[in-house]
Amino acid sequence: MLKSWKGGITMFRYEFMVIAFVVALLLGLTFPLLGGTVVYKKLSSSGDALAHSALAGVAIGLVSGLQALYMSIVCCVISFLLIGLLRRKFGKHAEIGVVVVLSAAIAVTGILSGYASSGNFESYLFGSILLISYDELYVVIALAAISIFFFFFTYHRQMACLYSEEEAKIARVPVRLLDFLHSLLFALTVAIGAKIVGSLVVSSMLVLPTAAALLLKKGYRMTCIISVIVSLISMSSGIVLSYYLDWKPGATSVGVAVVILLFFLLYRGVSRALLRHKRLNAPVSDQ
Amino acid sequence: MLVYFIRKCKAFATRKVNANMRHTLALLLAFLLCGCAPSGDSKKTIVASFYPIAFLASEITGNEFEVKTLVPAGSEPHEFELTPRGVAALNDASLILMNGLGMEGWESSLSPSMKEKTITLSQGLETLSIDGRVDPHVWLDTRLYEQMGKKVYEGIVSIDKEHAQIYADNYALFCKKMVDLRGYCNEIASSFKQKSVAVNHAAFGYMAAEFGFEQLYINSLSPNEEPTQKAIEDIIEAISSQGIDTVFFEELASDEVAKKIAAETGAKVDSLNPLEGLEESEINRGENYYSVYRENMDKIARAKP
Repeated sequence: MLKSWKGGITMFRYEFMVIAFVVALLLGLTFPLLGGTVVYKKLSSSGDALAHSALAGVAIGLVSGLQALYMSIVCCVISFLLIGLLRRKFGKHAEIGVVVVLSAAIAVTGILSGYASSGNFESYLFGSILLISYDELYVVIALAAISIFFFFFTYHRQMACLYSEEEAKIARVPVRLLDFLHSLLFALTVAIGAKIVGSLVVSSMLVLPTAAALLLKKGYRMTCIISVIVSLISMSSGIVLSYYLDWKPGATSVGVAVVILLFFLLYRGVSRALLRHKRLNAPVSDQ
Repeated sequence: MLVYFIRKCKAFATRKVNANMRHTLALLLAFLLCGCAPSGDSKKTIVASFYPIAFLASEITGNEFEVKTLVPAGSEPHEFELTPRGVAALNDASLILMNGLGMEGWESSLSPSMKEKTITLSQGLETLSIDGRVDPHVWLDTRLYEQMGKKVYEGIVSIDKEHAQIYADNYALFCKKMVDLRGYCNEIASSFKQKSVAVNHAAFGYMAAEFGFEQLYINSLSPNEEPTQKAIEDIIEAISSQGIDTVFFEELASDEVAKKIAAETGAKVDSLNPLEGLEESEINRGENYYSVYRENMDKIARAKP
């Protein structure tokens, strides 16, 4: 046991692993807090759409000579507002808006990439959690702090909006403002997250933890809590596993999240079967 | 808030239905704590970003340093992402050798302490451009490769003066082998008259410039990009008008486009190796920079016109 302890500690011999671990935990906290609302609004794939918009932003930045990261943030915000707008236009088929924005972003990126002077412009956007500078660490800390503040400050109002926008409006909840602020924060998270940990991690981790938590059907509050726990476990174990198995950290985190989700699915199936079994065999007086 | 959260967590942990979940948690924790650490080698290391760079390092250090290649054998360096072990290797290395010119996408995110011990070999070399982009495949020009070798030699001597004589001998041997290689290629190239070579991606610009042939390419600098209509049309036109009988694709990249164009024009398909990475089996067979370079040259010589 002592030996295995040592094995666990060696990974923190490296400063970059410590920073990666801290960033994983901070982002692990941020993602489900902001991503939950998006899942409930049936816009799960918007993270993916925004990651592509961010890439389009980088392409625009490289062609026009403006700062690539700022352009990607601007593109993300515009895209998410557009998704919101299209969502209202399409009514029931909300996800169409996401697809429209996703397609537009891919098209813009593809066309502009021919004009960009730098060959592999993905490297401007897609970072790795292992090579994070102090500046980026501060950005993540700030982002996490703002997101947590936003989540708790608007917790009840957001819940009201998700329950029914109409009733929330009647109760004088500033629905539009809330939506706008959330969009802003969400877009910021995707743009910055993609730059720091890669787009795969961002678009998956915004959705998977909440999706997994939803399977357990525990109500809004518990779903939030479970999704945060799932997200923290996935992100941190992704870092640890990738160190020992020599895998790519981002992909490993996402893989763990998927495994947890499948595990919940299995758990739900088994517990349901057990419940049915119990009901069938229980004496009548117990019912 | 916090108290509430803790209470909830407690309730969560003690609830019977969640035994399963606690199990997973325990399992993950076990993962966290076990697993063996990468063995701490006492031998000093040099980390090179990909094959030709690593080959330079191993030619010059001989057995004094362990040379680690970041991009594993047989992978395409354009599409490479670092793993924790890779970053750990960078962290522990005495010297980091890179090509530069955008071949290492992670270059800009290295920490200051890593940057300090990094030598970018393409720095100060006379580079070529394709379609307004700098062509990073500098190692395919034997003269430039020799200059890169000199930088590696100087870099290694500066961190280990004790064995300077060994490195000087190795460097001299390397230079001699390069002169042999160039002689071999020049002899072949002396028979080239208006030679055109059709390739999948424009990796061979330096070779073409050195040995006097023209490179017709489908994709400019990214090997797996989607080619434009016009690029395909142009190359088909050129192949049929110049009587080209072979379309080359590069190993490690997809041969799909080359095959299609070959089928359209009736040309053969063959592979060239831009030396970005060698397969494990190739290295075990004793293949190296010199032998693969010769083989490329032979293949180009065989292709018409």
